[in-house]
Amino acid sequence: MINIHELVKSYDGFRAVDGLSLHVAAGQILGLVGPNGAGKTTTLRCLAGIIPPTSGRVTIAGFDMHTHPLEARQRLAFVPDEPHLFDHLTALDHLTLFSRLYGVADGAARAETMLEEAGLYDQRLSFPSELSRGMKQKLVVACALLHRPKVLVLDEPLTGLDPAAMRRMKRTVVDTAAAGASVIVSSHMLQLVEEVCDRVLIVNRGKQVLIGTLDEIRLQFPDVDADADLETLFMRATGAEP
Amino acid sequence: MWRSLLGRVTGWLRLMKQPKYLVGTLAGVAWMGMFALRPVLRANRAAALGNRVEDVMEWLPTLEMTAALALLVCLSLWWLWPFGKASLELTETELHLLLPAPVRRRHLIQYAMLRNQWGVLVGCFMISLFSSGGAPTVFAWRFFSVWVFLTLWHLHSRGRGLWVARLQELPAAVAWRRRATVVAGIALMWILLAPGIASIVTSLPGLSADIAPALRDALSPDRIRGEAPLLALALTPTRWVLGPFFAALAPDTPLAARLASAGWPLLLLIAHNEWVVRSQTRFEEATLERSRQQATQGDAASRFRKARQRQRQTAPFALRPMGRPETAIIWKNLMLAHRTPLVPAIGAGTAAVAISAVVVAFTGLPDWLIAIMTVAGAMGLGVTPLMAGHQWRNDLRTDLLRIDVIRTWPIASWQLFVAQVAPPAIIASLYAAGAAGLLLIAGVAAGTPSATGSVLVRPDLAASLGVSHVGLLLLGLATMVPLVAAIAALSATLQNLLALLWPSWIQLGRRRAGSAAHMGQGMLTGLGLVLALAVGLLPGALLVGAWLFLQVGVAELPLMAWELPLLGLTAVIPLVVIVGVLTRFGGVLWDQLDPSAELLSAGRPS
Repeated sequence: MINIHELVKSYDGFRAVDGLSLHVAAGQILGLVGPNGAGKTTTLRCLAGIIPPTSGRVTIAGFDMHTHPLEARQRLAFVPDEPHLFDHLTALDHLTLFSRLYGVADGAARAETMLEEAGLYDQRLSFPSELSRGMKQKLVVACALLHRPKVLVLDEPLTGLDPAAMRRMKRTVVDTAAAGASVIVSSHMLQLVEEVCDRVLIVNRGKQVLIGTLDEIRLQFPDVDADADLETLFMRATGAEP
Repeated sequence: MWRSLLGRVTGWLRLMKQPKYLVGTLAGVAWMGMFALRPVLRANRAAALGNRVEDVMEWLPTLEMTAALALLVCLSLWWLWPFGKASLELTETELHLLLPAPVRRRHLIQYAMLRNQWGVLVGCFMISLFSSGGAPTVFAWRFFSVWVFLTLWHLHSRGRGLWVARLQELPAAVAWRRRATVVAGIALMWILLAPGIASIVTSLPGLSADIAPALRDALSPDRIRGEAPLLALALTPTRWVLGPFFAALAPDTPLAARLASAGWPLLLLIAHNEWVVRSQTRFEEATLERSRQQATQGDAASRFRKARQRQRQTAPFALRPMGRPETAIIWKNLMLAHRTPLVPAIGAGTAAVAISAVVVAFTGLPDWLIAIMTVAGAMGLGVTPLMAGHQWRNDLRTDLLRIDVIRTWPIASWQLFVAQVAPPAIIASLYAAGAAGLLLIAGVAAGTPSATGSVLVRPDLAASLGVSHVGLLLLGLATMVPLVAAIAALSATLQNLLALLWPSWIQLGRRRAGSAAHMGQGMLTGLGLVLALAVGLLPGALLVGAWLFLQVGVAELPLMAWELPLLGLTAVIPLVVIVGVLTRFGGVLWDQLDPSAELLSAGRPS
């Protein structure tokens, strides 16, 4: 469902993403981890068609993002690290807007359902400035999932959320994948990645360091414990700790 | 300060690596150079103005005294005003970084004062550039005089604000005593000055043909010194402040006199600076509050929070889930300006104009009201389309701040661009239509028997064009409305193209960017927009001109009223073609835009 082939993104000679390739099948969740400046957000922005890659290919549900951008975007949902909403639109307005943008036939009814599921029904006429950070994040996710995307991309989805909102967000990610979507989650919260992701991609300085299930990654480090957690493996893989 | 300057210069140099910004800067520098070279280019005009300048010079001493008196009155009223804030011009980040740092309090205040100098210096430069029109020495002196005045004003304003805020920190009795002393001092000063002022006022001439020389003599410094010595003494400090400015206005002032006029204001400036930086007022909380207020100023959020529940459920039109996706963007961006439902609003507006026109046709209107309505309507009709979206910025100028949301939407690039251009064009067209309605009512009123002047339409014009008075007005309306809509579309298209071409130079969102760089960039982009608009309007104007030339000049056929809408359409068609081509170009630019360099990581929110 998601294919990235030899993705490169350069700025003034600096390669923020350097030949990254990956594949995420339907129903899979891939965790994207790496130190600050590793190129995670740049990768996700290229994947979502926000910034053009310098070279390489991105395919969403079989549609090339460069040659068939509309078809690819129709099947994609991107949740950025900051909950960017339109200051002048209410929560319900946001869902109405996204219904029309993505042509959701049952948009009005689904908007009501999404608001109820997100616990935002009472805030449906509130502007973003009247919502807490967690509520904004929930609204962004509701907008993203409104059109039942086949690919969901989340950049740091748990930033600024309280424990209850974190648990709900994890449930949403797992449920979306269970419904058949391919999901990529970028996060510094390694417990989250370990808990919800089927596979993990560790990147450093724009390059792929390791990719696989946690067990497959453990095999790369014979000297670590058999039950070593992702944090230990991450430190080893990125050279942050001997 | 140095680091801050270095950061700005580095950011600017980075932008200059891109040819589009370099070319823009060179164009701006060339434009400003033209102003600097004005004295050379306008040598003849300067000679022609010589006599008028001499006349003005005779008035300078009187003007200086009058300005000094006005300044003294302003300062007295200012100090009588009991409110003031202890806020300094620091951002929230600067406060968080500098307050815990081992920086002395007076140095922190001094930094806040110096920080303001960016704006002051650029303001002085621009004022001097546009007003000097003389040799470099004249420019330099004018720059200095404006700088002294603005800096003193700023220091005095901050000093007074800190002083008033300090009163709130002191015990009530002490604060009351201090305030009473100041109020009593000001009152005493004006009581002492009153006889002198009364003497001058009584000597002022009455209204007559030779009032000017009599007025000049009555308010001359010598007369005031003779008749009201106390007033002359009280005006001394304010005259010091204004001295360099008036010395700069007189081109033949000797250098020694100019330098002498600079000494006292500089001493005042140093004294003011010491007064401010030695303040013991707690400014931290007020400064933080100010910086937060400024951060949200002009923010859409602050405007919409006040909306009631019922207002929050209204929209310009109902947006159904299925249909063309670009309609959703138009719907969204129209709401950034108004939530008023469009169709009922247009219906009500049309009905109001029609009813008013009918009523006015019977009752008539006073000539002065017709004149006001005519001027207001003409200005609205002429200016609104050109400024499409300038007020609400309900297009890419706001949406580029949310580019990581917009960019993921499944809409073809050129359609997205059209959807961005449409809302400001629609709103500008509606406002222009309202102005046209005002003109129609004024025109109907001008045709009634009670109207004595030919304010809007010459009585014989309609007859010469072979149509009734009202018929001519309606045909004029039918000509203008499509034309202003097309001009509004062109203006909105050009402004959005500028946003895509030079995103780092365009003010994004409604928040005013007050920095010097933004001011200069705004001037450059404004100039570019005016030029582009002129070029865009040219083909239509040429076609209409050719039509009129062939019909009236060559074939010698009279112009008939029914031709007006056709002439309007002739002007509209090239505009529509140009807008069509430009929107396609906008789509290509949108596709090619790499927001990572100029929007997502250039210090703007993404």
